Amino acid sequence: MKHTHTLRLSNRFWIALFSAAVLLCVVFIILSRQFGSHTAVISKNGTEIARINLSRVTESYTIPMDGNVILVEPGSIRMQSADCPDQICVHQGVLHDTGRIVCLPNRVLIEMVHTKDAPDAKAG
Amino acid sequence: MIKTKRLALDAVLAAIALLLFLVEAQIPPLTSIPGVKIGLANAVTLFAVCFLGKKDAAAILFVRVILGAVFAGNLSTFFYSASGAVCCYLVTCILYKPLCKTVWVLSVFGAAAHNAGQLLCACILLQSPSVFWYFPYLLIAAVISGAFTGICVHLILRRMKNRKEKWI
Amino acid sequence: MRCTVWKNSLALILCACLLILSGCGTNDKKTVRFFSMDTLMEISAYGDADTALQRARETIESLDVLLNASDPQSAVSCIKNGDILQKNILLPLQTAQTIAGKTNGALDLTLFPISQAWGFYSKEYRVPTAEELQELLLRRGSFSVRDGKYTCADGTKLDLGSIAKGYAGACAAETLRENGVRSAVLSLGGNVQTVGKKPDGSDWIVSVADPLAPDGTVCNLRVGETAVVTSGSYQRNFTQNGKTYHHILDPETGKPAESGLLSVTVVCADGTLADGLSTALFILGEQGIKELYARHVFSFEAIIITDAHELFYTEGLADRLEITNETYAHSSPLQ
Repeated sequence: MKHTHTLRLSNRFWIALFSAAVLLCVVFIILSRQFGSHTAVISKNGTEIARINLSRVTESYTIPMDGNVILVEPGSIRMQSADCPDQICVHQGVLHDTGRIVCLPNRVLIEMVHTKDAPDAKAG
Repeated sequence: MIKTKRLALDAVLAAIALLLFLVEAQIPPLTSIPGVKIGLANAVTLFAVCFLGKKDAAAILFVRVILGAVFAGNLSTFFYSASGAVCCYLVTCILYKPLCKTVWVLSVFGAAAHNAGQLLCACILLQSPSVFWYFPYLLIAAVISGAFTGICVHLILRRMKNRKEKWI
Repeated sequence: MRCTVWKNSLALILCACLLILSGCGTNDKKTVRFFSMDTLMEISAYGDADTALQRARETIESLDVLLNASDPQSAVSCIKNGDILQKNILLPLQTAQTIAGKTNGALDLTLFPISQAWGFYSKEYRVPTAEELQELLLRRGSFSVRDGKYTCADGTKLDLGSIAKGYAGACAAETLRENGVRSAVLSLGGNVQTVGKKPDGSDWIVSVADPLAPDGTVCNLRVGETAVVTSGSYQRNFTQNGKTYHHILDPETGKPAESGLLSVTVVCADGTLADGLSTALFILGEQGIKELYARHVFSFEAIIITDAHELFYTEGLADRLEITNETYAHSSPLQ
């Protein structure tokens, strides 16, 4: 009897613990989607080509731009490959919330910007 | 005789694990990292650890990881599945003693370890710590799939318990 | 007692499932990106929209083939005097004709040879001589559309560049709607077209590019289902001997319009109209825009940025506009 009693308590304990963990994760996910809006701006020759809210990215994809291939992942962005000789941009690694990646030979710029209310689109 | 039976059981379990692994490959991925899975095949690892012991479990795991890579995937799939499986195995073994009475809890920890291992592997392979953004998603998946497989294993163990002597 | 354990576990699993579903549902956004009409296009739709997005992309790509003036084989390049026009050429031409009629010919689709002389199509930029421009202006032709029938002067070469993206956006939005999409935003190289509102019922936020630094933005606009189109001298230009020449040509002179504006952003329910108007308004200049707006000929709102770095907006935008750039902090309603 005593044995079953402890088993029941322990089950309750674990259920509570896991529920709390799941709840925490959900809260984290929702918060990171809403407030952790880190936006990457990709531009070529100074012309903005894309503006991506990395916290809303759920699936990785690549953006090919003659010569450069940019890899967009949930929460991060990086230069996957480039046809330039120095490969500096590829070695600059991953951007999360600050910084920039520059490919001078191809004039491609990936830059992180912070906006609370990120626009859905940009005219112009 | 018993040894042969046990070997046969190991083989059957490895086959089941492999099957679960292949079935799981059809489930839409939770993350964009190819190879990162929920880890249904860990049910077999868990069952093997509980029912047959750590050595048999290790053997089954080894067979499953190798054959799984042969049947369904490439080198990176192998790395992900191996890292996940090994982490799951280690955590299950370590926690077996304190948690063997509540198999489903053990299973949740195993599943969480499986996912953590895969993320660690992705982190190394992709050289980007950003993959840990997935961790909350995977943790939720681990709790659900872990509890589910744990309950399944618990039920099976209850049915098999009386016949344990027959096998081992 | 064992029963309660399983009940508890089941409840836990169900709760977790529910939480995950509620967490994912609202943000289920699908996006396609592709290059068409010489620019990057991005269409994002909420909900189960894969097929719809693909159809929208096909809509735009087929229009690109049809309306591409640089391609001598395209349908628009092959139009002859007296042709009965197909719908996808007729509709943008009709809109263009209406705009031209109400803006004293500010929007002119027959400037292709002049644009070509400046090198805005080949990207081999040059400044044509005054005689060359004079001659091209005389030869540029004219057209009219009546009852679906196209009549034009000899040598007229149509260029729908200033209206095609807007029309494509409107068509793609229609395609999305037909395929069950209720919430989408299309960004066709700076031409924005929205479908419905955001899934949570709130307005879309569309930013407007800063003409002084196109990477940055000037303001955010809250809009419902509409089109937002910007025409600006910063979008395509070149510099020769210290002077910068942009691509929006004044039909009067054949030279880049000098209306004292850096950019005009038009907010208008009709995407085709928005696109055509943005070009026409840029050529009209501040005074002309004021008059057109006051006459209520077209239903539109606009944001204009002058070369003195002032920002003016029409009154309908007063409570939808939020300036995000200090340079333009002293904005005022257009009156």
